[in-house]
This record gives sequence, C-alpha cells and structure tokens, in this order.
Amino acid sequence: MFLEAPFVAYQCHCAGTSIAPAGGRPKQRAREHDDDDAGDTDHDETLQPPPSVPAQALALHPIESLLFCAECKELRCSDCVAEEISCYYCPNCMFEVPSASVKAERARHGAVAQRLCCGRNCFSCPLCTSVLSVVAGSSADGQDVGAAGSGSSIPGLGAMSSGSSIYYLSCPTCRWDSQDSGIRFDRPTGLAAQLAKIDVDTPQMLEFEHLREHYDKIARMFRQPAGAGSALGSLGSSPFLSTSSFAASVLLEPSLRLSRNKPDKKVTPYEPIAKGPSREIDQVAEAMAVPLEDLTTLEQRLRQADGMVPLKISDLRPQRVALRTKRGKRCLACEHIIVKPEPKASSIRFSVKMVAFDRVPRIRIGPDLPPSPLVVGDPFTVTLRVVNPSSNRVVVALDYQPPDPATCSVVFSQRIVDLAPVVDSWDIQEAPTATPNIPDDDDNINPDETPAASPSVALLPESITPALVGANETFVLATVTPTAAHAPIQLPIRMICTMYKKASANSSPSSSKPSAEEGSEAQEPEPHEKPIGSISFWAVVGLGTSGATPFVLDLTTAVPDDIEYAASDAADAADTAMLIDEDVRDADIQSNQQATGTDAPVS
Amino acid sequence: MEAAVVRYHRPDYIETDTGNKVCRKSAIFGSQNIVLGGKTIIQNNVVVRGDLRRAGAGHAVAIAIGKFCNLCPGVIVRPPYKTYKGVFSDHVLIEEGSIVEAASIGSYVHIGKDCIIGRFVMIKDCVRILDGAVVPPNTVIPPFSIVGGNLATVVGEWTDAAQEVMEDVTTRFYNQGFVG
Ligand SMILES: [Zn+2]
Ligand SMILES: [Zn+2]
Ligand SMILES: [Zn+2]
Ligand SMILES: [Zn+2]
Repeated sequence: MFLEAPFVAYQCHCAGTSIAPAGGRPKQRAREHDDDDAGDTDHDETLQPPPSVPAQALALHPIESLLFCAECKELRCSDCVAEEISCYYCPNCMFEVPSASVKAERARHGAVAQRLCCGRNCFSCPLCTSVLSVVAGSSADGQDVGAAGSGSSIPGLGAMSSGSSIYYLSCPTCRWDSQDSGIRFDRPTGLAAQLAKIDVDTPQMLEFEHLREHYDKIARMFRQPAGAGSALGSLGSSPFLSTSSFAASVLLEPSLRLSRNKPDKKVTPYEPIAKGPSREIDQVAEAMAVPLEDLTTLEQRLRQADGMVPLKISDLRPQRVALRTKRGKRCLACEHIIVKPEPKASSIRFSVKMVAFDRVPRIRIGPDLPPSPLVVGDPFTVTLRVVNPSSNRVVVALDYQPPDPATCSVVFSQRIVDLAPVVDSWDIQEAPTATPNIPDDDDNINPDETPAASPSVALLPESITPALVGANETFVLATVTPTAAHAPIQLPIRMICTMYKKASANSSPSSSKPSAEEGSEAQEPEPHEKPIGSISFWAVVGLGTSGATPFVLDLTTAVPDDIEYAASDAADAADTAMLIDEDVRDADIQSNQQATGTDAPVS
Repeated sequence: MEAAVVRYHRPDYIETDTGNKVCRKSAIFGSQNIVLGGKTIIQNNVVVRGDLRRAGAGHAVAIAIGKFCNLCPGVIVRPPYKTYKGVFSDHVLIEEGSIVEAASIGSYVHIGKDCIIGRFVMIKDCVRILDGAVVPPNTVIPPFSIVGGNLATVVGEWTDAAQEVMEDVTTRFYNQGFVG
C-alpha cells in the first residue's frame, strides 16, 4: 500500500507473522513479543525477512481500514478476519436475493457456478458498462416512444406508450441499443427470462446441449460408479458453464477414466457441432474482414460472461448485473464476530461493528504539517495530535523506537498523554471553554507514572488555538532533525494505551476537562481507579522523504575579495541542489567553484 | 494523507441561523428553491442552480442539502431534471471542481475532485467517489462502494468505518477549520 506523506499508519498484529510474510520490522516484533502479555507466542521470529521499507509499507494500514477485536484486544486487518456472507443483493435495483434462491441457482448451475446475476431487469451495456434503460419503441421507423424506466427506481423521462409492443435496452451513455444486436423484448418486465429464451438457439447453447447429450450417453454407460453421476450432477444444466466444448471434455474425461471399471465399453470422443475457424490464420482473416470500428475491444470481449468471444460489436450481448454481497467479519484468532452488517441492501447499520477508528486512540498530524522537502540537519517541529475516540478515559504512552539505521533524531514534548473520553458531537460554539491538553516538558516514558501537568497556552504553537482542540485530544510536539539523505523519514511509535472506565456520573465532561487552574488536579488518575484494559500497537508517522545533503559554505576559506558574491552564489547553488540530481549538482558546484574560486565543502 | 487546517475569511461568508456558512463569492441561483440543513459550508465559486426547474410552477424545492455538508470551491450542483430535485443527505463532502446532477446522495458520501456525477445518479450512503470519476446517468451506487474511472465503475469496497470517518472529517472541518 502506497501512503502519501504525511501519513499515520498502523501495523496490524498479524504483520510479520505467518499471515503477512513480508511484513513488519523484526526488531519491533521482537520487542513487542517480549512486552506483550497478550501471548502471540506461536510465531517463529526466525522466519521474518530483514527489515526494508517497502515490506514495512505493505504491512501498514490506515486506521480506517483496521478492525479491532475486543476479545483479543488487538487490531485486525482484512487479512486476519474471516468473512461470512450475510446477504446477496443486486447493486442496481438493490433487490435482496434470498439465500434460498442463491442456493437454488448454485444447485442448478453447478458447483463451479457462473457469477450470480440479477434475475430482474438489470443489464449493463456491453460497450461501456453503464446500466441500460428499458425503452419502448417501434423498430420500424426507429422512433422512440418513451423510456420505461432504467431498471432502477428512478422514473424515466417519458411515459411508456401502451400501444407499443416492442421493448429494447438502450445505453444512456454511449447510445448502444440492443436492437443493434437484434435483441428485442415483448414485455418490459422479466427481461432476464426473455433473454434466456432468445439465447436458446445461440451456437453456445446448441453446443452445450450437444455436449450434454454426449456425456449423458457416457454416463448411462457407466451408471453404477458414483463418479460419473456426480461429475454430471455438478455440471448441471448451465448452458454457459462450459465456455468451450473442449474445456468441458478436458474437465470431465479424467473423472470418467477414474470411474471406468468396465474396459470393454468404448467411449467415443466428442464431436463438436460448431465448426469454428480451425486455424489461427483463418481467425486472423476473419478478424481482418471486420472494419476496425466494428471490432470489439479486449475489455469488451472479456466482459462478456457466458463464454462468448464476439469479434463484432453487433455480436455483443447485454450483460446481466452481477450480485454483490454484504459480509460480516469474524476474528480468525478467537472466532468472535467483529463486524455484522444488517442484512438489508441499502442499510448501513451494523449489529456489531468493531472498527479501530472509534475504538483505539490514533495519532493525527497537524495543523503544523512537516515542510516539504525535508532538509537534512534542519530541525522542524510537527504537531502530533493523539485523539481518543472511545468513551473511556485512556492514558497513552508513546514509546518511540528509532528505526535501524536511524534516519532522523526526534525530541517529543511529552511521551505520556491522558485523554478524556469523547464527548458526543462536541461543538466548539456550544462549548467554548474546552481547554486543550497542553504538552508539558515531561519526557518520562514510564507508563506507570502520571504526567506532570503544567498547562500553559504559551507552549502551543501559534497555529493552534484552544478552539482547535477537542477534550479528547492532546498535542505532542515532535521536533525532528533528518540525519540521512534520500531516506523516508518515519517515526515508529509504539502506542501503549491503558483504558480506564467511563467517567462516573458526578464528573461531567466539563469537569473532567477543566480550565487551566484545576488542570493539574483533574489529570491525576483517581487512586481507586483501576485500568479496565490495555492494548498496544505500532503506529508509524510518515513525514516525507529527506532531500540531498545540503552544502554548508565554509566562509573561513573563502577568498576575501569575492566573499559577498561567493557567499550568495554558493548559497543559491545549495538551494537549487536540493531539488536537482546529484550529478548535476556536482557539476554545478564544480563550475561554481571554478568561477568564483571559492571552496564549498560538502558537509 | 493528513490535510492542513483551512482557515476562512469570516467577512466573506454569510452565516445563517442554523449555522450554514455560505461564501459571498459563490453563485446561488433560485435560493428560494434551495434548502440547507444546517452547518453546511458552501465555499467560494460554488454554483448551486436552484433556478433550474419548471417555470411558473411556483415555489418548489430544487436542491435540498443536509447537515454538515461541504461544497468545496468550484463545485457545481444542478437538479437532475426540471421536475425532479437533487437531495443530499448529511455529512457529504464534495471536493473542488466536481459537477453534480445526482437525484440523491446519501449520508457519509465523499466525492473527490473533478468528478462528474450524471443525471439521476443515486448514490447510497457511505460511498467514496475517487478523483476524476465520471459517473454515467441513472447509475445506482450501492453503500460501501469505492467508485472511480471514466466511465466510473465500482473499483472496491469502502471501509466499514466509513460513517465514523466521514462524520469525523465533516464535523471537524466545520468545527475546527471554519471556526474563524
Ligand atoms: Zn492483520
Ligand atoms: Zn437488479
Ligand atoms: Zn454504453
Ligand atoms: Zn479476536
């Protein structure tokens, strides 16, 4: 996954384990392994690849895409959950297809069923994939009488004419028209069934029927063994299952051979009725005969399900819209359900939804964003905001572990932050007294110690006003000095979060987040307050990529006469050198030195 | 990618009783036919065509926009057709330069930059439309879809946390960026 800097990404607990072979930093994993009493002790650390940035990037996820298993107290990415289909629906008409009819469809079409499609009036354009509208009209003069709706609940632009008896599908985007392929309907409803009837005498259908007869005959010959029967049973009656008769015979022949126990019976090889162009040169000749503008594109051919490979646009058929599913998710480790959507197509409600976004504290960057480009040796300050989205009070210890090799040096304004629970839809205008959690100079990383609160607005950078800070957020100022050139500047931070139970009734949100005077007292956890749980996970703050190593002009060796001119000239060179290639830069500097006689050492 | 906080120039904006902030440099036509749900932001150079409706039929809503929506600079919103209205639900973010003629947009929808949303498009809740997508007319986009391309197709499934993410983005933008 490519993450554009600045970003904050999180490592799923599965990273570096068997599920994601390329994931993780072994050093981090090892440390996490030691510290974690959660007990993921079953993975073999020796299997882990050496750390590299691309591998690490693969294992990182934005917070939105992560789930959280409350049972395991771990983050879960899409790789470490099992999915369960909770409902099938048509993405166009939003009709929920009962799982019974999905099962029936599967049974009819065999185990290797073709994709499940909407059995109503939903079709997509074979040329451009737009959804087709059902149009009533007369084909004789080509005059449209009106649109009969688009298969969705959107009303059409005109009323359907009662006198008209011909309906066809029309693409509102590219003006493709099913009459181009000779497809017309008698009724504006049940088009899928009508189309299936039209399709009865297509070469594919005939070939399939022929194939079926052939294998029925063979199956009758080998009636007793179970193998042949089941092989045919799974074949079912789908005309489209076998994209070509040859593929089907290849599929079926081995199973028949296995079940053959009477070697005296002779199996005749299948003779296809369709005699297509046998030689490739004939196929090329056939294709060459079609004018270029009538030729289908590769995408259009591939989109044709049903195993047809039409050369000409006029042979394209409208495609049925494939069904979509809503899926619940289950933790692979503990098998608890972590996501369970309502089985209704248009509902966005969930009966269970454990997403990391509103369960675990996260880091945001801003409002002070890192400069671009990042200059080696040039310190900058970036504002990290630790946000608590949960309804529990959370103390977060930020355990920064410099990567190996180090690409930058970092100083944090504080390492432990105490976050109030989220206030439902807090509003600045209604709660103007919200006071920020002010960064203090406590650099202690021991999570057991409470931070020494010394709130003072003066510590905040100018861009941060109290209005910008929610009660459930705290600022941490990170002063970063890149030390390596051409390296991604990333801060791996282990977030050790200790949750405390919800604020009791007597401490309202306003008192739990008091003004500056009462701040120090309220930030101390109550002595009787017991943590209700703790989680830890890795966050990586990406700040960008450092540029080339800049030059420092050593004025002591400069020629006194030209010193002013040389200084400005070399400084210009240094400025531009950050953006240009190193070779160009060197040449530039050399010519610069020759011209001015100035020694500009590269630091 | 984290976004910088946007500050707005308060005199440029008209604030309504319900907290809508409408830029004076936007072009709102037929404002009697436009409904804003409250705490909705209409930024500079946005065009909202409430006037595009059947003439002489009296007062009727042409565009209805919900709460905590954010129309970024240069967005153009038109009703899908003269007898139909365009209805946007809550927490809808439409980025710079997009043209929207949808019949309905659900809640928690994020439309990227320079998109074209065709006539009578129905966008359900929790949908992400990627930058530059051209959604053909009459398309129905089911919930939790990521849609992109010209012509737009569903390219992925959006996160289950879409609702929380969009709530966070739109309310934070209103409360923090646009607090003045
Ligand atoms: Zn995972
Ligand atoms: Zn359908
Ligand atoms: Zn089309
Ligand atoms: Zn679990």
